[in-house]
Amino acid sequence: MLRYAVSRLLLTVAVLLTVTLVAFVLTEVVVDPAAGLAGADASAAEIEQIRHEYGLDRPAPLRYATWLEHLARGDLGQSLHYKQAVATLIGERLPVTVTLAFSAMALALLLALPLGILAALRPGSMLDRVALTLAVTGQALPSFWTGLMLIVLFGVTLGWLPVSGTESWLGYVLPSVTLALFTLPVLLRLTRAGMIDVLASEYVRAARARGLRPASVVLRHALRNAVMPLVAVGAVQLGYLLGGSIVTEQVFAMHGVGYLAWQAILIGDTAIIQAVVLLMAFFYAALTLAADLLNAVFDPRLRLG
Amino acid sequence: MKHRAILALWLCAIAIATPARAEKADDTLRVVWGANGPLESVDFYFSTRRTGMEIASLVWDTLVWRDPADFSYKPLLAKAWRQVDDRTLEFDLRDDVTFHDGTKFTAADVAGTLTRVADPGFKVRVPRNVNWIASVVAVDPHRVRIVSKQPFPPALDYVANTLPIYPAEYYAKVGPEGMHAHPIGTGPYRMVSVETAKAYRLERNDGYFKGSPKGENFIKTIDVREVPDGQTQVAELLAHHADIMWDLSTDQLQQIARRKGFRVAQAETMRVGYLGLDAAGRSNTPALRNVDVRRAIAYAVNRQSIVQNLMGGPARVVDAPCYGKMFGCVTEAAHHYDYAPDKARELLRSSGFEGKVAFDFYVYPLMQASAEAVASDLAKVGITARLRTLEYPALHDAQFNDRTPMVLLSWGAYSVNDVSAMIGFFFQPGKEDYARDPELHAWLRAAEATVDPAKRKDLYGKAIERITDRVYWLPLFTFVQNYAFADQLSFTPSADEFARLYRVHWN
Repeated sequence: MLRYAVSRLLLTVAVLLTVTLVAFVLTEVVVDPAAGLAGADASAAEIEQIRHEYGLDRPAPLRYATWLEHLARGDLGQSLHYKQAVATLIGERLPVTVTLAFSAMALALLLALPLGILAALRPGSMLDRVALTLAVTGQALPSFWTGLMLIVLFGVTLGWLPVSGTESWLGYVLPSVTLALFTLPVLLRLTRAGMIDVLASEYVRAARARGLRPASVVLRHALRNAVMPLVAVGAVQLGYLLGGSIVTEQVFAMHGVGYLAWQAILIGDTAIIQAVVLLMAFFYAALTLAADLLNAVFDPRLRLG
Repeated sequence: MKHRAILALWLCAIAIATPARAEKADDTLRVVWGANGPLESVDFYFSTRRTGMEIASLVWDTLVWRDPADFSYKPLLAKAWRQVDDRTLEFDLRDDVTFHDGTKFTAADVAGTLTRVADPGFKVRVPRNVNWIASVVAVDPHRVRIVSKQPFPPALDYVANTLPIYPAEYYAKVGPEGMHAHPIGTGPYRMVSVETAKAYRLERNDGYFKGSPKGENFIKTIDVREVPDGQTQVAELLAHHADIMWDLSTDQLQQIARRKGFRVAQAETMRVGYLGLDAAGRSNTPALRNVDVRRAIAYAVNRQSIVQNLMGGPARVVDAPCYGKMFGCVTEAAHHYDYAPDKARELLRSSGFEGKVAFDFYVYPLMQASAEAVASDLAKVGITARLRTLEYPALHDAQFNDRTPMVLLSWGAYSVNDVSAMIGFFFQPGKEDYARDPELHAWLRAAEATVDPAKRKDLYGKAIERITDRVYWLPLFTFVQNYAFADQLSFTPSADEFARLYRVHWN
C-alpha cells in the first residue's frame, strides 16, 4: 500500500509541475498583462510604457523561472492590479468557495444517493423515471440560467432569499442549489447504474438467500461496491467546485476564488490567473489522489497495480 | 400550540422575506456596480475604471470642478486660476479646507501629490493623466503652479477630472496600498470601510467646506457593492436591495420603467460610435485606400435607421468625429453623408471597384447588432464586410497590429472635454492612426502646441473637414447611458458618463 501511495504521490507532483508550465505558457499567449494594467482605452504607447515600467518586457523564460522560484518558497506572487499578495487575495476568498463547494456537494449527495438507490431498486418505475428526468433536466440547464431563474423567483418575486452576496448564510442557499442541480445528475446516474449492476450480482443474491434484511443487503453490501466509481467522480466534481465555480459565483456576486479568477481574466492579472489554475490543479490532483487511495482501500486488487 | 409554532415560523419567514425598501429612513444610498470589471484600487492613480473616478469624486476634491451641465469650470480647492504663460497654470487655493484626518490643506499637498504621481518611477496606471506635467511648485502656502512639458491646452480639464489632491505627507508615508486601505481626502465623503473589489462604505464628511460646487446636504451613507453580472444588478434593484444602478441595456431600462417604485433616466454621452477605415493600407486592403470606395461606404450606411432601431433614447447621428460640446469639435466643418445607396453604387462603378470590395469588419460584442446593420447596408451596394467579433482587448491588439480593414468602435475620450483626446488620439503618428495623413498630423500637432483657442479651433476645423471628406472615419452616432433608480431619489445624469453620487438626493 505504501509503495502504491508513493507512486501516486510522485505522479501528482509531476502533474502539478506540468500544470505550472501549461498555465504560464497559456497566459503568456492569451493575456497581455501590460494591456490589462493600462486599461481598456489605453494607447499603444501607454501600453508599452506600462510594459517597461512594470518589467513585463523581460524574457518569458526568465519570468517563468522567477515564478517557479517564488512558488518553491510558497509565494504565489504579487497581483500588479490589486498591489496585494496573490496568496492573501485567494486566502480571503477561499472560505466562500469552500463553503459553497461543500454545501453544494452535500446537497447533491443528499439527493443523489437516496434517489439513485431507490431508482435502482425499481428500474423503470415512476420513481426511476422521475429521477432520470431530474438528472437529464439538471444536466441540460446551464448554471447561469438556473441561477437567474432562482434569483427571479426567490430573490425578486417572493423576496425570501438574498439576490446576491454572502453577508449571511442565506446568501449561500440559491448558489448551492444552482451548483447542486449541476452536480446532481452525474452522481445520481452513477449511483443508479452502480446499484443496478451490484444488485444483480451473485454475492447480493447470496446475501439475500442468507436471509439478510433488505436494508442491510442494499446499504451494507451493495452500496459499498456501487459507490466506488462515485467516489472518483465525486472527487473530480468537488475539485471543480473548489476551483471556484466561475459562473455561479459571478451570477450571485459571491466573492470567491472563481469570481477572483474571472476578474483576473477580465483585467489581465496573470499572477492571479496562474495561481488559481495551479490551485485548481492542486485540488484536482489532491482529490484524485485521495480517491485513488480510498478506492485502493475498498478494492485491494488496485494496490497490486 | 402546533398552530402557534407554525404561525411563528411563518412570521419569521416573512420577516426574512420582506424586501428592504429604499433606505431613505436610514439615509443610506445603496449602489451596485461592477459589470465592466472590478475596481482595482481605491487610490485613483492606481485604477483604470470609471468607478474609480466615482469613488475619487466622493473622497477627494480636485483644484477645479467641471460643471456637468455646461462643462464650465468652477472653483473647488482653488478659488481662482490663471494661465501665466503657454506652459504654466497658477492656482490660488482655499485656506478653509481640511482633510478627513483634520490636517490643513495647503499648496504643499498639491505640489506633493502631483509631483509624486507625475514621476514615471511611481508607475501610475494611466500615464496620460500625468505625463504632461513637468513640475508643480508651491509658490506660497495658498498658491501653486503647474508647469507642463509643452503647451498642453486641455490641462485645466485634466486638473478638473483626473488629478485629485491627496494629503501629501500621508501619501508619502502610506503609499498607494495605504491610500487604498485607508483613503484620506478633502471630499464630501469619508471612506469608512474598504473590501477590495467587493464593497465600500462611505460616510458624509460633516466638516466639508461650505460653498463647494459639489453641493451640501449630502446623503449620510453610501454603500457600494460590486456585482459583476448586469442581470443580477437589475434583480438587486427590483428586490429593493439597491437604490441606483447604470450601464443598463435599453431592454432592461424599458422593463424597469414599467415597474412601480422605480424611475429611469437616459442621457446622451460624449461617447461617439464610428466606423474606422484603413485608408493607409495597413491591413493590405487596396480597395479601402480609394477615397471613392470609402465615400461609397459613407453613403451606403443608414445611420438614422441604426439610431432609431438599435440605439434609442436621445442618441443621434453625428457627422463630426467628436461630441458637439467638446472644445474644438467644429461640427460645421464636417461633411454630411445622407443615406444614398444609389450614390454609393455610382461611386463604386466610377472608381472601378463595383463588386470587388470585400474585407474583414471587426467589432466587439457590445456593438454586434449595429455592425450587423452596417454589414447588411454595405451588402445592398455590393460591398462584402465579413464580420469578425472579438473581445475588446483582442480587437485593440488586432488594430495595433495592422489587421483591421474596418472597425466599428466607440470612443468616450476619457470624458476629456477637448478634441485632442479624440481626433488627436487617433490621427497622430502611432499605432492608432489608420489614415497616415502628414497634413493632418501637422494640423493636429500645431493645435496641441498652442493654447490660443481661436487658432486651435481653426486647426481642428481643418482636421475635421479632412477626416470626414476623406472618410478616414465615418462618425455614426452618440451613445446613451441608461440609469435606473428608486423613485424616492432625485438624480440628474450628465453627458460625461459619471453619476456623481454626491449629487443624488432623496425627494
